[in-house]
Amino acid sequence: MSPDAHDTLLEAAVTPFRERDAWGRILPSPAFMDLPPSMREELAALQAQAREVERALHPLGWSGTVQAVMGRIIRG
Amino acid sequence: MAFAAWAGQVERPVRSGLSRFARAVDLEGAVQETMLRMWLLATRSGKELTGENASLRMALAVARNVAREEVRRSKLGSLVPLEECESEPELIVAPPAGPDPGLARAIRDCIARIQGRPRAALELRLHDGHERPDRELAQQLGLKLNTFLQHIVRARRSLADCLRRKGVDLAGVSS
Repeated sequence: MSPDAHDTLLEAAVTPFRERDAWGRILPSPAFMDLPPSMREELAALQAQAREVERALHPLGWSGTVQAVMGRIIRG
Repeated sequence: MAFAAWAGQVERPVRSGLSRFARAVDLEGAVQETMLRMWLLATRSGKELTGENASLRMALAVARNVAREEVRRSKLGSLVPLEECESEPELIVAPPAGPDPGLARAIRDCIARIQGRPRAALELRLHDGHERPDRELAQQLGLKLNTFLQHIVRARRSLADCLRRKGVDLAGVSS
């Protein structure tokens, strides 16, 4: 796998957006399920870094995770 | 708003506490599920948490349960032996100290240096990524999903290189 293909595969699961099932439970990213276990640890580190960038740029210091959770709470 | 501030404080320790499950569990989903369960606990159970770092300790316990449930549901226990996870000591990572205006300035400056579609893709993901799937964001920019993701990858590389030149290592910030 080329470095570009590798990074693109990971990036698909870095987003903080997650679907929910009919019972409201948050589902894993479909892109996560496509990754081999060895790449999933790398993904976790990239997710953490992406959240730090979002936190730094948000006026209230909310990462994409906190923004997603607050959106769910506010929308119900 | 108070819950959001609390969630921001515990996010990093909870994510770190789940790292042992990373081979089998999508940690982003698990952290969000943990926070939503903590919201329900805080608003519906009437349970009062007492003691030092009580809410953080509860969040770590909820996160472990969320991860265990996900391992069992996905039948990926072979990747994360649950017995070993039970016996490992809890990882406690310090919550963020607070807003870092210097880091925000450095990131904004570096993003401003990124040209064209990679910058547009990254900015849209940063702005709307928490509430809209990538396929919608790609569509908004008139791009195929894979092309959108490639642009974000390029933008992240440029951002990381630029920050490194300024002495900022994102891996160090998040750990």
